[in-house]
Amino acid sequence: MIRLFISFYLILAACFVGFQLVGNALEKGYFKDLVNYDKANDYIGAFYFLNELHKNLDEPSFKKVVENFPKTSNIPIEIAELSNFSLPDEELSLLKKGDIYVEDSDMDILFYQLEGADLVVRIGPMQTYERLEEVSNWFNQVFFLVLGVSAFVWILSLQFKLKRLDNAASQFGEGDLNVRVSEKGRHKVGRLNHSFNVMADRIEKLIKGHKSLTNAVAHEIRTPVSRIRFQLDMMYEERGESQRKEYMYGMSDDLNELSDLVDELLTYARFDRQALVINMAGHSLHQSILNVINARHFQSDLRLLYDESWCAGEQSEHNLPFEPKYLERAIGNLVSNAKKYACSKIQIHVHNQFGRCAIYVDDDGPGILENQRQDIFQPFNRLDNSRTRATGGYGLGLAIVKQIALLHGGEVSVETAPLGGARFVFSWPTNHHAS
Amino acid sequence: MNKIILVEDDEKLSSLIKNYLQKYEFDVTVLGDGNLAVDAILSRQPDLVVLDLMLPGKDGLAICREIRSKYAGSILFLTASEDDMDHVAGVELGADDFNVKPIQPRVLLARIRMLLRRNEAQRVNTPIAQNRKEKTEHHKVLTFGTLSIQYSKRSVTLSGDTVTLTTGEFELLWLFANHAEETLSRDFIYKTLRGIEYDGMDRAIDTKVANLRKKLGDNASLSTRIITVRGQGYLFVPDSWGNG
Repeated sequence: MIRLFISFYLILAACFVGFQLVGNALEKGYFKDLVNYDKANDYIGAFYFLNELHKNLDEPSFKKVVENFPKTSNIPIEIAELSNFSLPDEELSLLKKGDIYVEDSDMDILFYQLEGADLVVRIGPMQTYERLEEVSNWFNQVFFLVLGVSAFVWILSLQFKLKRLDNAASQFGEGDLNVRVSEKGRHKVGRLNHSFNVMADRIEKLIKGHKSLTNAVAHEIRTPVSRIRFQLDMMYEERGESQRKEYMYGMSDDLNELSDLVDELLTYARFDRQALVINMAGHSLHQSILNVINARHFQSDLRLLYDESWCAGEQSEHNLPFEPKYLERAIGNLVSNAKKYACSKIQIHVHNQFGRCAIYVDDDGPGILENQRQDIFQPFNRLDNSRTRATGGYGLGLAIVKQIALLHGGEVSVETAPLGGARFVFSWPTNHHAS
Repeated sequence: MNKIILVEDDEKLSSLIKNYLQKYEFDVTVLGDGNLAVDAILSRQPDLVVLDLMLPGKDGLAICREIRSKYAGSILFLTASEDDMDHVAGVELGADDFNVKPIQPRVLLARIRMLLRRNEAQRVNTPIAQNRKEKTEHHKVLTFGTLSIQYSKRSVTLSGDTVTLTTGEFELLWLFANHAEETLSRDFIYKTLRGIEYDGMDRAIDTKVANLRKKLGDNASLSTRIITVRGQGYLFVPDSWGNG
């Protein structure tokens, strides 16, 4: 705090003094002619009067006037022969021309030669009444004190605000993720408080997400592991050959399940962590969708309808920017998901309009409740929340779709399909080709 | 025959547990849906309930809360969650035991028997401690299948053959044998045998257990006689010593 104040005060004082010095230097150097011209004009009237007096009065009366010049005047006047003043030659010629010579613009010392005479008038140096001089010196010194006190008060209030922020930041750093700073006017340091809170919100969310992901992973892995453990121990105790084989096959299934889970997790992690810029070159969306449909061997009792009419027209129409490997994975996941819940049919159609392409995957299953529509894109979040195996999967498919949508700068959402079930909409902007 | 209700949504695991427990003569009923559990437990009043935490319909904690006041038997949680808060909540709601998956079947069995014995003891109003006191009388001979331990002579025989043990190993085996089917922590073993507290670093007990296993024909990686319970300690299994 003291350090902050001292450095701030020193900088202020240095600025002030430095500015003055620079001003003085300029006055003496670069702007010297201007200043001298201005100074000469200050006194040109006085010289005019003296000149006129000298012209109109005879020698003795003029002397008398000069002698009677008030002694307390702040601007003393001296009139003498030219030779009495030791002036440089250059200036002498100036005086001879009838010009005013400014010797010292700070102290106001000027010379002027009276017309038609050898007399030279010197005005200055300018003086100030001593008591006034004292007071004004005092006043100038008080300036630095006032500057110091006001800077101190200002720094004190800033320090108070910063301290609050600092406390919050260190508490946050120690792991208390609920800490937020007040955004009231008297606690605000610019936008810093707001930015801190926004940052804290995001970090808290991130860590929470990470925690729940870790928990979910632990849970998903432990279930097959505990089955394997059980079967292994039972196999060890079992004597019957056929029963032992049964346990062996069981363990093999569980190991497969584990390795599927790990694959799925790695895929998710790849899409989750990558801040990659994907290659959004033009591809045929129609072809990609056909690839997905062909890759999924369909059960005979489910009908998959793909409305191809959207790209019936021009060839260029379905040349859209996307990454085919990723997009096919996303559509594939949506179709697999629909397959799990659909009763009899799944419909896919595409809207490509106004620089935005949307793929709709509809099913006629039970649909998804309004309040669950946000959650289903979270990893490991299945609607029944029980990790039941009945519908299969690990709850990562839709999370991956969301990641892919984000990579394309688009989004995925869910609504009610005309068929009665869920409608997933995967959409992304197509107007900015390959950036 | 003791009645057990197992509430577990993983079908494969629940059928494995059911088969295993049936071999040890328990009457096991499996429920896969939390919504059905409360009514089933209250109407059947089993001796013990094994509850999973995450269940479709109603979760384990909610079930525990609803049945606890109207159900006298034991409640054992079996869950994949290692969250301390779940653990605390479970115990506060009146659960008798809390186990984390994966669990070895033998350990689960020991836990279940332990809870049933405790419940039994409470019912006939004889504290378990009293039973144990009798058992630890030193002139007694303990026999488990083909294993027989005689404290006064410090002799151990397995299938008729004498097994030579050091004093420390014998003391440890005697302690295990007197606490059959209980999970003994290293801390407890240390306090009992040496009178000093376990500092978490000393591997002396692990070495002794390894020696005991070798001499008593048990396998460290797939132990059936003295089982390592992950993160908790050791468990002596009384009925895996062959028929004597």
